[in-house]
Amino acid sequence: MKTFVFGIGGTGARVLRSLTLLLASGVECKSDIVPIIIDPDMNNGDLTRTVSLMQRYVAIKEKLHFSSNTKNGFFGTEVVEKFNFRLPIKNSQDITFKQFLDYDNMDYASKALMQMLYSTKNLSSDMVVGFKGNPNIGSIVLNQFSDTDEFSNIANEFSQGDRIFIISSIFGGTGASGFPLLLKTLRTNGSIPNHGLINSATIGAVTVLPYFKVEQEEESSIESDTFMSKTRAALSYYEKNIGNKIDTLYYIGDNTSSNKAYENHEGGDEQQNKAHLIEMLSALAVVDFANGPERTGSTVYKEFGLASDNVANVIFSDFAPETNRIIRRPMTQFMFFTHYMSHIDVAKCIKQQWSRNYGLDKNFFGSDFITDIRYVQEEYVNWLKEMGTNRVGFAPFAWDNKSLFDIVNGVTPSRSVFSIFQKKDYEQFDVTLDKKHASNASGTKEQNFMELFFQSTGDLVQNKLNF
Amino acid sequence: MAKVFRLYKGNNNIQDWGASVPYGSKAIGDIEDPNAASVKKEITSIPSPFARIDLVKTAYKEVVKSGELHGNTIFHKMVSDSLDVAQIFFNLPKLSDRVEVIVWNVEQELRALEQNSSDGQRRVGETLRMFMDQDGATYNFDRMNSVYLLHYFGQYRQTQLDIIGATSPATLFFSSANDFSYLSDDIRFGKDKVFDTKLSSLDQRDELFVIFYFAYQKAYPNFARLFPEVNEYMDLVYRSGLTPKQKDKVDSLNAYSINDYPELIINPNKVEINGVFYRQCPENAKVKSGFEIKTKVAKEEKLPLVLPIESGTIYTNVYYVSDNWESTNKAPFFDPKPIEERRLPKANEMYPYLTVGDFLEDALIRVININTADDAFFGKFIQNSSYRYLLPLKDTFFRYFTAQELQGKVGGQPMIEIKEVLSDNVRVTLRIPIQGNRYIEYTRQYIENGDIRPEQNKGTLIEREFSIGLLSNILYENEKDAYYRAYIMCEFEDKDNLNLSFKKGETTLSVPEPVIRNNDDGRYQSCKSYIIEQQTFDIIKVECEDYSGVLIPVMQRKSGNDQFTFAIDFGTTNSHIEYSVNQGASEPFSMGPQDAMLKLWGYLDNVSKYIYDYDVLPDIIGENTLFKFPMRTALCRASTTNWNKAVYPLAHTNIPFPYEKKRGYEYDRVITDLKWSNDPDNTKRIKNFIESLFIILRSKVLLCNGSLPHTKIVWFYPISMVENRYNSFSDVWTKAYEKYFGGDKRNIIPMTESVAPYEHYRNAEANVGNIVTIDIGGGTTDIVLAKDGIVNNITSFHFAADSIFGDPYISNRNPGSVNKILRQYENTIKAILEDNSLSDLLDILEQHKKSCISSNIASFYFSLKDNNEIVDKRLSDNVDFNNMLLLDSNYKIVFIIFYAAIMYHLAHIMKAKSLEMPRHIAFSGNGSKVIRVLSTNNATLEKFTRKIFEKIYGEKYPEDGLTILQNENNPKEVTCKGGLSNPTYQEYEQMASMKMVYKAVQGNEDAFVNGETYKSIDEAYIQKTVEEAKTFINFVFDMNREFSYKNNFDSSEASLMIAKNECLRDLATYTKNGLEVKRQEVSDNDVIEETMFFYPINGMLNALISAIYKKNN
Repeated sequence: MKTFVFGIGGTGARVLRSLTLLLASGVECKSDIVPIIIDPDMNNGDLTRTVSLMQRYVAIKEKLHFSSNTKNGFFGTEVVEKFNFRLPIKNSQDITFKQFLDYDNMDYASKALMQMLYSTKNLSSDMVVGFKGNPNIGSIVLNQFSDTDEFSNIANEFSQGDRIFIISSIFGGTGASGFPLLLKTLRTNGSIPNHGLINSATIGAVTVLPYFKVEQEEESSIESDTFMSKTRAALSYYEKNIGNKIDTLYYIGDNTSSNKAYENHEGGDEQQNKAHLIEMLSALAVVDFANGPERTGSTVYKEFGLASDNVANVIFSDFAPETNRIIRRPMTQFMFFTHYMSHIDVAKCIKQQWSRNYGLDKNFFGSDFITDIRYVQEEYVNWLKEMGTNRVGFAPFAWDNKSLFDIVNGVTPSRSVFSIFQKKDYEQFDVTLDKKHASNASGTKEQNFMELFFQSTGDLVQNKLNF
Repeated sequence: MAKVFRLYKGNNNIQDWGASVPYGSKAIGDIEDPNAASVKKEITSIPSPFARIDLVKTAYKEVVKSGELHGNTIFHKMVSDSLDVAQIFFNLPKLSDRVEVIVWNVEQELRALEQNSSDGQRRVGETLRMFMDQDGATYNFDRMNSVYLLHYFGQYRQTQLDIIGATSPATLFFSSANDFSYLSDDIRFGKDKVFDTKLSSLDQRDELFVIFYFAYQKAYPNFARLFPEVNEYMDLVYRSGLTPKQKDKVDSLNAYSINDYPELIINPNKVEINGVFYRQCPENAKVKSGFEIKTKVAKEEKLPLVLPIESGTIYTNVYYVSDNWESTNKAPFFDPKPIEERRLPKANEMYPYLTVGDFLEDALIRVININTADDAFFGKFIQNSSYRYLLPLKDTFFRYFTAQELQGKVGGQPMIEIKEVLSDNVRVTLRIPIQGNRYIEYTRQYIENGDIRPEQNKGTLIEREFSIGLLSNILYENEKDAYYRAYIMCEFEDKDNLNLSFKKGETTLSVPEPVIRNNDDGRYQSCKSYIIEQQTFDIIKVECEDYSGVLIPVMQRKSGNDQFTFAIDFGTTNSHIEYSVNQGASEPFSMGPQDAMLKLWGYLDNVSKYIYDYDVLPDIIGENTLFKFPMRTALCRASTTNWNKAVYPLAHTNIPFPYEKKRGYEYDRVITDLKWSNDPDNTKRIKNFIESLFIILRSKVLLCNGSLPHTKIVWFYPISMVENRYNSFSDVWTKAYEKYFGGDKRNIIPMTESVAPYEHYRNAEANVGNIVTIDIGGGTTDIVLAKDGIVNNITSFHFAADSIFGDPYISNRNPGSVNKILRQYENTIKAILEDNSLSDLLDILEQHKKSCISSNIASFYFSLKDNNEIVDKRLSDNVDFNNMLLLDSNYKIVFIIFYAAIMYHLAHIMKAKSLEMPRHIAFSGNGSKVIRVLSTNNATLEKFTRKIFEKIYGEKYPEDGLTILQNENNPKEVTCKGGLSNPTYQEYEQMASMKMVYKAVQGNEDAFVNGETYKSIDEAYIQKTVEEAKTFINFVFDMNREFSYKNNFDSSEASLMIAKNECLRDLATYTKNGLEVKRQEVSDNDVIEETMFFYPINGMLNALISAIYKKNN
């Protein structure tokens, strides 16, 4: 089963980033994921970062094999790359909205109507960086999915039981317009391939409501003061025009009054915002949807709740058990993995028993595979740090050079009676690796390496943290 | 309590991704929007091309939700702008020069887009259709036929296609996201400028529009269901915005009230919203403005507003068009557009308004005034210099106000004020009343030689010399009663630049071309005469080159009931008028200064004043003044008068009161021979004379509180006048009476000149039962015989003063033909005039000499002693022509024969009628003055007369004797006084029946004409007449033996001798000449209507005079 995940606009890209990192950490998703980013802003910093992350993910995943014998959960979900994860938006580059419309050649009356429906600023906006918070522009420009070969291709891949999920923010430009438009197309377009399947597919979506502010800039077309007003207007529109078309609709957002302001970028490579808990939770909505039931015919609305009312720095213990069940162990395991990888000296490492056992030589540690893993892990750290410094913050891990096992905030590691645990952090880690090595020796180096680390971190988490 | 990541407060028992509920309007409404009240930027989050329509819908909802009708949020802004759009549509016809409608027809346009070869356009078409299909129910797209878009192309347009608003299927109208505040100044409804930052809710708009919007709501089927947000908004407006009065109006609306508003047609479409026609402001919708002019006169539906020209706070509590006047508002001083095409300042709506430039002229005309008469209104005048100013009011003023109102007050202040700030700087202030007992004050400064800049409210002051005359300034209730003459007099060279027109309110009267007598003669000032008949007016407009001003005569409203009777003796030489009021004592006609008829304003010097005297009317007529009755019977006319065209009395012609007293003008002609002339135009002349007279008389009646229709006019005719001529006269008198007095025709009373004196004496003297009255005029003598108060017989003949002083039977007048008695005294009189430097009179004398008309010269001689100049110089005795003749024994025989002829004829008649010799003989008529040349002693005359009677009767005079009665001073008065004492209609027929014509002395039985016609007169008849004349002449000479002419009358013996030689010659010729003259006015079949006895005597007297003259010179 596949879930086609459309991430529309900047928020879409950021949620996919979270999703990719969650999947990398081993959060379980019962469905293959086909991420498709829809964003005319090809240089969007969030987009490029997400795309390259996903490409690493795919590259790593290609080296790995999963079977009933394997225990590895890292990169455990199949992520399918189609067209560089992007659905191209045609004719939106280097032209203004007006040119896109072919406004100048319209007849008098239609010109007049366009004048009325769109402001002069709308009409003359260049669309290079998307629709700058103007979903009304997007509603026309993006209304071309069904026309593209790429979309047909994707639609061709659609099989019985496959699902569709759409990620968008309500207060931006691209996401806000792309979502209803995509939904309308998927639900009603009778000319796309597999339209019979697609029109009746299980479709879910997360609508991200405002959760951050941008710094106020007079000249910018993005003004967070208007986020709430826009949201309310758009929600009203959704209420009347979306509800009946979707199976599961996830709402998420946060009162922005105490939240931190982002730097104001209309788009482009500068728009690379810090990751946010809301995005991670939205990514979890994908997981929730993918793991959830088939469509029932009535729309299910979902919201996300913490177990506590801590809104400063959320830690694992603030989540209710189900969420912790899904994320706490894999995220911590991957954190341990990352931590170890970031602290080892390769020269020293290759001398370790477990390395030698698998022939993990200097070449292996200099391979693309390890580079990709390091890249993903680096991103993982960045992602976590970004979330930690954002508001609402999500800070499950500590960074102040505490010992490895003290890294999970709010959790005190157990002091084991076994002597082995009296050793220093990394020595202890190596001991575990060496120990696990004995039971796993088949497969490729990459497969063995990943299996080794997954099982070892699993033991460490189990023993030290009791997750 | 745990935290749920959401924006609103709701169920917080959710954990993980837990089931929730859809975000309904409650939840959405609960989302806190701390910035909502201050949000200024447009909201752009709706993922639909129709986002804007949705946003406006949301805006209505948000405003209602806030409960605050008059907020300043982005939602209020959108609602305000959308209502601006609605109001523009409502007022579209008024804005048609800057806004048009473009129609976007759904099916037609969508198809065109979808089938377009352009990807972009096709995408637009497909997307629009997709959204319209899928979101149709939410926005009523399923009902929408067309979108009507407003295209602004006014002066502030910024692109080739400024689309500023449109109809909306969801909220009736929606606004654009663009900032159109740049055109706010061009489109505004009251203070409410469209699309500006000062937002207006529905209730803050023009009430007319507010009520209409509710009417549209009521007429729109299912309005609440189709436009729930607007519906709730209007509920809020009703609840929180409308005044109780407005609520009453809304309550009274029903589904049919919409029919009060015409559909809004944009060819070929009608603007509709989802199929329901929108409406426009009714064409004639009146603006209910406090600035509306307050007028009792103008009845037009859309009265203009009168707007202040200065900014300030004075009027900020006055309602303008849809709001109060703003302190920064002001109207321009001048608007070149026609009033109906104007646009209200600031409001920019097409609606009539007025400003200072509509009321005040560009120039103020100063007139030097020597007449302080208060009978014209010159405004409240501050600093009373000797100047006067024509009021600088334009016609527009009188469209709304009467001349009467102008003279009143506005808000306790004079309506118009003229203040001489400096001698070369005059300020005019005009106060125009508006609603609510307020007024707008307009002031304009007029600077001498200043530039005219109406756009800067600057005028110029100019000075002109002219005068204006009005005859008479009487206010008439009925147009048909009104007869006016108006005059403007100025220097000759200015005559083409000065014109008058006459206005009744704003209407300019149509009047005949004014008359100018001296078109060519630049020596004199020029007087333009205007004729205004059977029309009334209250304003005289003076046009002076390119400028104009008005004069408001203060006319007197007269409605008296006094009964006036005038007796008019229209004599051959002189005319006299007497009048009485309510049958009281009679007196000669007079006028002024109390009842002066001709009002004069402006610059008047002696020269111009005298032209008015001569060519129009003196200001004063009466005893002890220069001009009085009796006066010379004469008509003055312009030399250019063409009798074949309309000739107006007191314009082309007039009665020249100064005639014979002052010199006249070369451009005039004076006609004296009115009564007996056979000139073909004579009837017209007489008509003009009589009408001139009547205009004067009616003015007198009105000014002295008389009643026109009750006025009686007695006019006199000599019995010797033939019926034809009588009828012609009668016709003129009657028509003139009907025209100018309009009363019962029986009030125009003809009486014979003969009987009238009798009536006078009968009333004036005791014991005059048996009386003979002899009225000697210039041309005729009338004799009435009465016994016991009853007139029995009348006779009349052409033998009167002219028989002595005239030139009978002269057809070719020349200096030699002038009567020799007059010639005799010419030098004497001339010398006196010369010695006393009476140049005017000398001029007149010369003119008369040139005309060679003896009777005119005689009249002049006789008039001298009463001439004012003569009287002033105490020269009356020196130039008393009567007295000169009295003292002149040479010519005495002429007067003896004249007198004796009349008595001889009378005695024969009476004897033939077997009447007793008369107890009284009374003389009247101007011609009777010649009797006083004979003797000033009545006893001598009585003795002489008795002798004549005794000799003819052949018996002694009865014991009671004879008394001769004369009115020495003014024998002319007697006729008039007689007429007034018993104004009795004396029909010509009736008089004719009493008339007797004594033929000759052939025997009693056929002494009188009895049906014989002129045809029957043959040589024998003439011969008998000559014989009778001879008998008479011998009778006169025989009488000298018994009654010495020398002793009694100081007649010279020498002259008597001449007479004896002269008198019996050529009598047949004279008789024939006399008959010849008569035949000119009678036909062969007419009954002989006067004795021929005097024909030979007429000629004989003239010959005798010549002979005596010859002997003495």
